[in-house]
Amino acid sequence: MSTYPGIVARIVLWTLHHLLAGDLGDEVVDELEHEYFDRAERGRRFVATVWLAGHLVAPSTWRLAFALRRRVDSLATARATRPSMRGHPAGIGAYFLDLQYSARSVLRRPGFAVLTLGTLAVGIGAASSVFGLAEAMLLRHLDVEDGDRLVRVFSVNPVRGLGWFGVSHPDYLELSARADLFEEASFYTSRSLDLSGEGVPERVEAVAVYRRYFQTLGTPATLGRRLEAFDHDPRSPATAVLSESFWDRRFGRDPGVIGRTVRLDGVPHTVIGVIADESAWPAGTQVWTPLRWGEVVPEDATDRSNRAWQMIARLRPGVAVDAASRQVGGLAEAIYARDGIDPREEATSALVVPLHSSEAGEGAGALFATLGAAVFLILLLACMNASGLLLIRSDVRARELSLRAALGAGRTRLAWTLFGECAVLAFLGGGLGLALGHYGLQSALRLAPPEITVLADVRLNAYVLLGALGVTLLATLLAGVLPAVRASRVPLARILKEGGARGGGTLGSSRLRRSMVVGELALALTLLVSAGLAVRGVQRQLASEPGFDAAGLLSFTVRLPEARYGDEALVEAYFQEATDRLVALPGVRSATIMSRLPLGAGGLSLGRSFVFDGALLPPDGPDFGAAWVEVDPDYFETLGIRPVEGRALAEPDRADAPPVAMVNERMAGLMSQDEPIVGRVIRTIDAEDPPRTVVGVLPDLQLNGVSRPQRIPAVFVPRAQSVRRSMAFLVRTGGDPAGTIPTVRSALTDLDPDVAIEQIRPLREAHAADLGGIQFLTVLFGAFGTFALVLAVSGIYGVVAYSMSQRSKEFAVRIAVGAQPSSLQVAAIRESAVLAGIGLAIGSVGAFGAGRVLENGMSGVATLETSTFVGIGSLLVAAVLLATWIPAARAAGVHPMAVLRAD
Amino acid sequence: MISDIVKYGGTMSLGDLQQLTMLAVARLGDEAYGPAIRDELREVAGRKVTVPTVYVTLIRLEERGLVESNTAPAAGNRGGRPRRVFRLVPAGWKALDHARASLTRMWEGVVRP
Repeated sequence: MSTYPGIVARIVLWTLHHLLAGDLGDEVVDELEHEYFDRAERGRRFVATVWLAGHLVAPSTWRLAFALRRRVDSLATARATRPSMRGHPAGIGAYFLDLQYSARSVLRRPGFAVLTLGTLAVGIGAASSVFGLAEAMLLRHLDVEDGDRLVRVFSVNPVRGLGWFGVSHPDYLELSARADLFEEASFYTSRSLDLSGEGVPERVEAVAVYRRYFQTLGTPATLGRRLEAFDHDPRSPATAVLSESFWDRRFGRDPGVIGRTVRLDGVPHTVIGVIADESAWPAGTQVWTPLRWGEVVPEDATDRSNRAWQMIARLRPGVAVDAASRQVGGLAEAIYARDGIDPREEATSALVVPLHSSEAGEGAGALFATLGAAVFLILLLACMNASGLLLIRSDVRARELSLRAALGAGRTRLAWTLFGECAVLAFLGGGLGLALGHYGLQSALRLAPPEITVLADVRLNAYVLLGALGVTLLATLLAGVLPAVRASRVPLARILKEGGARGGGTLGSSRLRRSMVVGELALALTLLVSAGLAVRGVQRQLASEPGFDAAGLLSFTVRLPEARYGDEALVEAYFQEATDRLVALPGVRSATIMSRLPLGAGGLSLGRSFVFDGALLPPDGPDFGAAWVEVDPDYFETLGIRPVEGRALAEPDRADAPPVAMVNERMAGLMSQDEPIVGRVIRTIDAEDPPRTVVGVLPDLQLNGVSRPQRIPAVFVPRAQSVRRSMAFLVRTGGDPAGTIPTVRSALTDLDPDVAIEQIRPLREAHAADLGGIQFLTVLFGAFGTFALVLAVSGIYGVVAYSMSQRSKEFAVRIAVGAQPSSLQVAAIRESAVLAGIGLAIGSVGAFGAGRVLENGMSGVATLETSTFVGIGSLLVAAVLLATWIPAARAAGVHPMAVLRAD
Repeated sequence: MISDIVKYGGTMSLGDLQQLTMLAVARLGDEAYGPAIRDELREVAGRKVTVPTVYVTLIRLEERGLVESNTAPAAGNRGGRPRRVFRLVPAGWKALDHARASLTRMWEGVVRP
């Protein structure tokens, strides 16, 4: 992402340089370049780039371009004292005349126009849709005053593999005290709460915020008021702020909601205000509640390891994000270098990220670099195709062009005409592409996981339009320059003498045609293989065995409100009664309660580090250690798994029984390679946890979703030996699990209507939803791959077929002097095969590189598979050979005299 | 070309930005090159204009025969590239005088309510 504005700026400067002629033009470009770097150095590279690119469309730039041309022309006239037909003719009028001419000649050949337009539309559409996505996820800031000054502060610890973590309260106090960097700061923490009181209870996305939260963001209240200092005082009544969409959905936009009481986790809260969604943070939040003093300060005052708080801040005007990030990083490093700090925290630092792109996460940059590279290749492919079509067209029009040249049109002006044609096509194609890209993306987004709320908000705005305009200009340059330059070098006399279009043309058997075929093949192979890899990777993920029978399982989670279930006995009674009622339902075979659902479907992802034989386990695993899963004895029966060694956890392993545990095969392998571990004792690094005897070993089953590592060490302990209010349920049904949802729901609502049932769905569906993110990418890559295939095959076919048809005269002569038609075909096919071979060789290198990039960027992507590679390669080669063979056969089959007479 | 002469002939009055630009050229003397003129317009006249706009104005003025330009040798600035320095010609001074005179005449008798 970081080199992106630099490249764009360079392209803009290059274009401006060519647009603005003469020494004065150079001066202007120098000045603009200077000013761009000035602005960029102040840390606003993107803004500087937009500013610079704006000059391409500013009327003043174009007025200057024409004024400069007028000036250059008049200087030339003064020098040579003869009228000049060179260069672009005087004035804007002539330019439009040329453009009109270009438009007319485009329309005169609708078939050619449609083909070129379609090609460019696909390329520009793909590029602008990815730009739209990037705009929504990375560039658009909150709709508040000076939203670009809002940032998020994260802790990082590269040594421990912690990226973009929250901050602790003491860290917050020290970091936010930097008044030279931050104008205001605050923090928040997200939590789901059960909302009840009026209507059906439901789980809401809630955020508890520290003081001056909305003041830091600059978010106004659309109705009522924001949170104020006294709302954070534990002695004042509890208050809550709603989001506009939630107010709309649950309260039908009733202004009387202010002052009403809602119960959050059973605690009554007074609604004091409503906040517009566009200016609210974090996106998707439904309810904001104030953090009360007691909730934050006492227990966290000195604990730096409790990084529960997400810090936001408003930068002082003029402070760049990069600069603030360096300062804050240095400050954090200084804090953690102090004496008495846990040595594992030594590498801890902090960084500052623009608020609007902070939610997209650490990997977003890499993801967009990959997507950006893919669309750039498609754009390149599309431009190459359009360029090839324009070249063919200028071949066909060689006679017309040479006539115009003979009549006194300057070569530059001829080039301008062709370039203008390309510009007309590119801008029409750009408009079409923008529409295509926009609607394509909207439909692709329906596949996106609902958790990525920001994705739903891709829309056309000034930035996206500007991006599409930039892409279109780039496409015009890429596709139009080559044909324009070639046209200006038309060998006049030869063409007029030889008879125009049939005179061999510029594409006939030239190096240019060969390099176009090779280039297109290489690009297409790279793209298609990457798309193939992504698609195959997801297919394999979907097909992978979870280690148990996931069909027929229904999963959901509940959280008992603390206010009503403060007593452990009450919690235990609820879960006991709930399981009993579930098992009694018709169609239910078994039901069980656990802390964490398999397949990453929900629940608490707890982790612990263990000590075994004096060694730390897992030694270098994920930071949170081995997965810690609390289960009931019927877990094993419900999932349908048996221990591979020892026994399963059973009814007698109750709270008062000796502490026991089961481990999975992965964990067992870490503990000991050869000796049996059943009967051995394992304990967590927390000295207060009791040592546990390992009673059995379970087969590895898939605990995580697809985006996380699959084979993780795990320890299973009896749920009865630790009590929690948040638990997940698995219900094994006889048939379709979705069919039992209503009965399960009503059974639990009967038990306690205040407990909300969340994420209730068939386990398979939960798994599929988890795949949604990757699936979304796969659809994108699949679409790109299809575009690339269509573009490449049609482009290669067009260029090869055209050049073969150009050789009909040559074939006729050779047949007339005795050559065998079949040997001519073979020769032609051999030549194409060599080109295809070179293209494939270059493409393989590209595909290999792209494959490596993808492997790093996405989990679940396969390494380069021979079958994918061979399949795509042969398809492309077939297109080349078919494009050679059909016209060659036609050319060889025609009677030689017919061709020769036609001249 | 003929239409240009009619259009831009000396009888036509100066635009507001043209006047300010010419004054900036006059104030800057030997230093009257593009970026300096832009800065002068911003700092003294309070007019924020883009670099291309300044140059368009200068070229128009040159076309009307009100200013002329010469390439000044490279100085120590901006990588030491040669630059074009603008200068008022007598017709330019005349046009400025004319503009000021008409403005002064118009102000006579104006009473603020």
